[in-house]
Amino acid sequence: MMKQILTLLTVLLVFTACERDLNTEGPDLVDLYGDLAVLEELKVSQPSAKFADGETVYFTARFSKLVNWRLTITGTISGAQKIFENKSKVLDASNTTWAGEFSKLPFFKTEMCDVELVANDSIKFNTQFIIQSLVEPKGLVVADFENGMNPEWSTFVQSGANMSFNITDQGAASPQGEFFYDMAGEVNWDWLIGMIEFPGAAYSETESFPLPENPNDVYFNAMIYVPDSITNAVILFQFREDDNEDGTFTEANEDMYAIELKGNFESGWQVYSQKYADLVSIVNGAPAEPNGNKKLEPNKLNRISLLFLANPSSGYSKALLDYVIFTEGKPLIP
Amino acid sequence: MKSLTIIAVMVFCSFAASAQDTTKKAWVSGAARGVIYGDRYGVLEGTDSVTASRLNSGHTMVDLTANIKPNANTYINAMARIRNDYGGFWGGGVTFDLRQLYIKGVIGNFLRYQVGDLDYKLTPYTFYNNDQFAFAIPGAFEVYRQMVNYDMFYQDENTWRQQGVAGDFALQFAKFADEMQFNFFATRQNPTDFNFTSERIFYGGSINLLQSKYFQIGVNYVEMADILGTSNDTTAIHTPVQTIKAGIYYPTQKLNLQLETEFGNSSASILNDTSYTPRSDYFYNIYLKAEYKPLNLYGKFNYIDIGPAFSSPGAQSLRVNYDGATTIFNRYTKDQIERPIALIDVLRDASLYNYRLSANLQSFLPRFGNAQPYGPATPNRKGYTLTVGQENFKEWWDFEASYQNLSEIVGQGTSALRSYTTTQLAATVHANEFFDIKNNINIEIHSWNEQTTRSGTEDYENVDFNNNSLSLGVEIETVSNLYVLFGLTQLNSKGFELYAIRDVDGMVVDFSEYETDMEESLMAFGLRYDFSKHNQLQFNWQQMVVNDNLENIPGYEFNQLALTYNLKF
Repeated sequence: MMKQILTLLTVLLVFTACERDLNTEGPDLVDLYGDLAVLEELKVSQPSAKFADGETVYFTARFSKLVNWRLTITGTISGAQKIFENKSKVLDASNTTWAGEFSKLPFFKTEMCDVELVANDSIKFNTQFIIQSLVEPKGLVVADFENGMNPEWSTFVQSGANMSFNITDQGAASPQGEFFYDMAGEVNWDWLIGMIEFPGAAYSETESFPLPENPNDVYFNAMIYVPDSITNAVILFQFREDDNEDGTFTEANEDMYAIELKGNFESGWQVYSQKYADLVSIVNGAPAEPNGNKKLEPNKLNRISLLFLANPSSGYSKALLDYVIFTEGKPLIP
Repeated sequence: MKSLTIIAVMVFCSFAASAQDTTKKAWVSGAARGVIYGDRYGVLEGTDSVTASRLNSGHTMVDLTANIKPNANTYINAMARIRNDYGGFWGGGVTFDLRQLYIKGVIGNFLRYQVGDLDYKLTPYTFYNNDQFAFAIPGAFEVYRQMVNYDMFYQDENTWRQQGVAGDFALQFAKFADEMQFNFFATRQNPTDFNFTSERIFYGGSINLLQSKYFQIGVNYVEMADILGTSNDTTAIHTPVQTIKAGIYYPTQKLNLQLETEFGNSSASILNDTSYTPRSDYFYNIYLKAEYKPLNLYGKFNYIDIGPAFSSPGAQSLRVNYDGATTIFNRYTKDQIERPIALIDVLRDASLYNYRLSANLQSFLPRFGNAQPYGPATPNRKGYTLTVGQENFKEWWDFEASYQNLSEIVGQGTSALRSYTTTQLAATVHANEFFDIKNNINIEIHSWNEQTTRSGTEDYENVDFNNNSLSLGVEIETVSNLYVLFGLTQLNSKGFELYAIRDVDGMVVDFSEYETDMEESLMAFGLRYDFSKHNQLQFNWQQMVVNDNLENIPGYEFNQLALTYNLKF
């Protein structure tokens, strides 16, 4: 019996000699509840940057404890904004590196930027920074309306009242470049007010858009502006796939997917992004089975249609469209 | 169609049962229940003209089990539940569910197996379903706990209901050892959605050597794991836990001495996830028990050391989902605020309970137990427990008193460590035995006091949080099998605690200030008639009062009538 007890205790003692990580768990309480002091004020790593040449910029500041901070970079001409938010003691290259992207439309221009840091809603710092050049977003631009209508595109506009399906720079500031597409009118006999179609042939020598095969790698992005006074706008993007690759879309036996935007739109220009893999099949606003091979295949995308709709009894409706682009790996605003 | 099929199977089994002779090949068993609740709500201060003050609910249900023995080595169990919520006459609130299905048997007179639904456990550090209450509840309320446990498949043996396969066999020896037992199981935790949720399994087993009646030793292994390739997710969790459990037993004519230990380690990792830092840690438990048989008196000593990174999903998963929403009077006051979980909800609301194991530590409410919220395997605890007790002394009483002193192993946010001191007393007195009265008179008293403290060099490090519960239960048998019941439970929580908030990987990422001065009381008068051990009718009138002295939430009360009928056949 004693032998068994000693054996057991020996094994236990050997085992308990194992090492263990004795670091404290969680953030230091002093970071959360200690006194707050500014150890280093806001600084910018360089006064200006040529983002087009691959340059980046970052901002630094240090505090004595963890703070909730928000760094806002605002273009003095464009009004574009890039916002960094985090909770940390230190701002450095790891959490504030900027290569010219935006968080809120419009796009930045080559311009002076105001930079504001707000920590714990009470401490504020300001500085400035100059953008010398910008990087164009990477992706397949379907339409930016800067060079008029592409002859391959087609439009259909009902003969309603106050119709205005045209490219313009009037009525709102363009979020990208100078021009955007204005869709407006009143049609009291049909939901459809008008539409514009972008065929794949406008972008490649085949009839399909030059996109990767994997739907998880492809994001569809479009900039849309619906005035605050408009509550009846319905924007329907349709994506028609040429499943059998015969050069045309056949509704009876090929897939069509859609994005339907309606309801309360946020104020101002907004970027709507959706992963291609998340597209759904919709018929008359209700989910439906696709008619084709039921696979989401961006490389077989044959045509994009944008239908601008409104309830015929609801009167006048209006929406603006700009910068329709496919991006790879991530949406236009990550 | 599913309902018709189930009924058809049951009817077939009934006929088969009536046709049998001495060896039953099929028979029907089951359970039935009828519950009616009448709840009336009111705020303690002011008025609430928005919330309906009365709520009636209830249901009847029957669980019909088809027991089929197609041959001597095979047994099939299929249980169907027919439930009708009150207010659903003519089929409106009726549901039919296949509640349980398993097949078990013996292969080659050697290997026992079970396929389908399993109730399984190993040890408190590997696979164990800890009770929902850290404190005791009087017998007047036991009927609610039993209904929840039955609905959730929680057995008294602390098993988890799982779906999968299990097997066991044993080897017996002529010399050196009596027997070696082998147990293994594999269960499915969640199916793949073919998108970004992979197939997750929980599997393991144990090998136990019963050397003699004096010595046993065994190894246990469990692991929760995602199966790569079953979805588009390229990451996969792995949480293996391995332990050794050993016991030395020394029985004499008057004394039983017992020394047991379990020790082991865990490692948690996520394959192909560079943002996740793998964690591993160890634990050990030493348990001594001495029992003086002439007086049924015993003393126990237990020392534990559970590492801060010890991760054992099978033993740390909580029964109660404290992030869930209450069912009765979910919103209250004229502002219709959400009513937080109270004692009555944990007692009788099965929708707050979990079926599944959780890969990471779940949320808990400190006022329902702060010292070991995840049971014996609660990480980051070390310390001892002393217990003395007496079981069924001359049929007069049972009692147990314990003192536990635990502390953290590493601090949370500071090097200062919390200490947890818990004292408990539980006693049941069979008063009729003192006065030689035939009918039962049972009196229960339970008290639970749990103190959490931490003192640091700065004020913000300090923690001082107390939980107290006092329960009294009286059960008087008036005429044969008819009992008058009284139950009172008070749960008071007061003080300040910094509650650790964990991310999806289980890491502490922040702290939430938890300050409370809450008093809950639950009082019941009832009548219970025992038709038999498995057939009871109970009527309760009960009152619950929740009062928050800090006025974080408005105080309220429930007056409730409850009629419950339970039958097992």
